Amino acid sequence: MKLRPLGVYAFLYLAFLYAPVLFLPIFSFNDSAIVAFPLTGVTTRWYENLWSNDTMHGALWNSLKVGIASAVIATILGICGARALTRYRFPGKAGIAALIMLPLVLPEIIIAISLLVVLLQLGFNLSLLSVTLGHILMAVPFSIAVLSSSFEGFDRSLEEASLDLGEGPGATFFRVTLPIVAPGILSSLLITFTISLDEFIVAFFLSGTEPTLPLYIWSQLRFTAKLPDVLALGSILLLASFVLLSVGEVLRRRAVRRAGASATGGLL
Amino acid sequence: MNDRTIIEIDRVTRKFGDFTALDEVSVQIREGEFFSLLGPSGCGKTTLLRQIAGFDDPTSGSIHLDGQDMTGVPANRRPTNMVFQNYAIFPHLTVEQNVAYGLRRLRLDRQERERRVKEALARVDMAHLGARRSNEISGGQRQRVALARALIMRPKVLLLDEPLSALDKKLREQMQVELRHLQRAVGITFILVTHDQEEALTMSDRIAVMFGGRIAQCDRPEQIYQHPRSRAVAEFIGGMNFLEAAVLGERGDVIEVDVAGFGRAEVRKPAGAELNGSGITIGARPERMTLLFGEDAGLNRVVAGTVVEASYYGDMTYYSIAIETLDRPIVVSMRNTIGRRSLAPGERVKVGWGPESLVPLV
Repeated sequence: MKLRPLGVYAFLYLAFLYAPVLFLPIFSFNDSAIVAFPLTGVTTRWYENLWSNDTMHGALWNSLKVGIASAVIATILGICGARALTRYRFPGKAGIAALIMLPLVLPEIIIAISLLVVLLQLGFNLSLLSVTLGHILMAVPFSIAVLSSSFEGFDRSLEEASLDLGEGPGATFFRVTLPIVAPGILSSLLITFTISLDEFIVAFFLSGTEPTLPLYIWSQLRFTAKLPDVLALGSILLLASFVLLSVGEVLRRRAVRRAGASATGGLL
Repeated sequence: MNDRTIIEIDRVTRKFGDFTALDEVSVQIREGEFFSLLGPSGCGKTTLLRQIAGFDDPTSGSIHLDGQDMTGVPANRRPTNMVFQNYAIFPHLTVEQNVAYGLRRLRLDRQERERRVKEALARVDMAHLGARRSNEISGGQRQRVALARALIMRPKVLLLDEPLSALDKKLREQMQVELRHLQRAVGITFILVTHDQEEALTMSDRIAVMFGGRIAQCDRPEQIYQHPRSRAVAEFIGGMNFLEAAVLGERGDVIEVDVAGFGRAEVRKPAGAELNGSGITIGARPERMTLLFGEDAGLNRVVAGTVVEASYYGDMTYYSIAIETLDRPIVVSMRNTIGRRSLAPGERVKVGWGPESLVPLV
C-alpha cells in the first residue's frame, strides 16, 4: 500500500489528540497505586472503590442536578433563539447572533471571573444555583448551533399544510412542529448536559461548598494514593461523555433528515 | 360546472412595503370550474392563491367564498384545501396518516375514517402504498398523496400551487390529464397556479393571465390563444409574429389595415382600442399562415420570401422566413405531413395568409 502524505498526517494528528486520553482507561485497570509503566496486572479494584465513596456520590448527584437544570433551561432558551434566528428577519440580527455565540470563543476563565464579580456584587450566595447559571451561559450557544441546523431545514409549508387541513396553531405545533424537531431538541439536551457535566472552570469559581464531579476530581489530585480512583472515575466520565455526544449527534442528523435537508454542519 | 359564483375577488390589493404584489384584482370564479392563474414569476399569482387559502390577508379589498366574507377568517376555518408546490408531505407520518391528518377534527368513528382514507387513496391510485413512509415514495406519488390529503376534506375549492413543476416532462403530461379527469369526477372547483402556458391551455376552463399584480386577460383557453388582447399576453402564450400596420379606415367593429410586408386586410377591431389614426401592432401565429407547397391552403393572399432557418421538432418544423420588405424574418410553422418535404435555408418560398391570420393588438 502506498503511504499518502495526507493519510500519514491524519493518523499523526489523531494520535496526538487521543493517545494521551487513552492512557486514562489503561492505567485505571492497572493493578498498582503508582501511575507508571510497566503495567503490573489487571484489576477492577479502583472501580469498586468508587462504589463505596460517599463524597464522590454527593459530587455526582450535584453534577446531575446542575447538568439537568442547565440542559433544560439552555435548550428552552436555545429553541427560542434558534427559531428567531432561522425564521424571522429583524434589525441587528447578525449582531445579536454573534453576541449569543460569543461564549463559544471567549476564554472560560474570563467568563467565570466576570460572573463571580457580578454575582457577588448582587449579593448572591455561591451555590449550585450560581454554577447552573454559569453553565446555562456556556451551553446556550451549543444549543442554538444544534437546533439551528434542525430548524433551518424545517419546511414552513408543513405548518401551513396543517393549518390548511383544519388544525389550529396549537394542534399544529404538537402534531407537526414538535415531532419533526424533537430529535433536535433531544440532541440539544444531551449535548448541553454533557457540557455541564464536564465543565470545570466556571464551576470552580462559582460553586460554594458543594462540589461538582470535575471539582471533586480536582480536589482528589492532591492525594497520590487516590490517583487510581480518579483515573477510574475519569474513564467513566470520558465514556459517558462520548456516548452522550454520539447519541446527541445521531439525533441531530435524524432531525435534519426529518426536516428534509441533508445532514451537514453541527458540532461533531 | 354551472354559473354560480363560488369565489368573488373584489379589488384585492396586497402591498409588501413599497412593492405592490396585487393591484386591485377583481375576478369571479364559478362553481365546478377549472380555473388557472397564469403568469411569469413575480406576477402575483401565488400571492392571490395564498389570499384565497387564508395564509395572507389583503391590504385592501375582499374575498367572498360561497357568499361568505373571508376577511379575518384563518386558514384552518376556510372551506379550501391546498396542494403545495413541494407537496408538504408530513415527513414523520406514513402515507395513510398523511391522508387522514385533517379527519381528526371531524371526530369520525374509526371505520368511517378508514373507509374514507381508503377511498381517497384509491382515487389517486395509491391504495397499495398506504403504509409507506413519506420518504419512501417518488415525486409523482408524493403529489398524489398531497391530492388525496386535500380532497378527503371535501373542500369547496381546491387550490393547486404549481403542483406539476417538480415533475419531469412525461409525468407532468400524464398528471395534467389525470388532474383534469379527477376534477371532472369530483366536481370541485380547482384553482391552479402555473407559469406553464401549455399546462394552463390544456387543463383549464378559464385562464386569468397575470402581469405585475394585475389580470391582463381572463377568458377561455381558445380565446386567450386566438384573441390575445395585448402584446404582453400574445407574447407570453405561444409563438407570435409581431407586424406593424397602418390603419387605413374604420367601419363599425372592422378596421382596414395595411400590414408591412404583407398588404391590405380587414380585421376585427380590438375591444377597447383607441386607434389614434396611425399605427397598430398585428400578431400572426406561426400556424395561422402556411407555406405554399403547390397545394391550395384556402389562403388567397401570397407574399414571397426566403427560408433563413429551419427548426425541426418532429411533428412540426418552424421556418424563419425573410420577407423582402420586412427587417425581421417571420416564423411560420408547418406540420410534417406525408409528402411534404423539408425546406433548406436559402430556398425561395411563398407564404399564404389571409385576414384570419391576423390578430390586432393594443
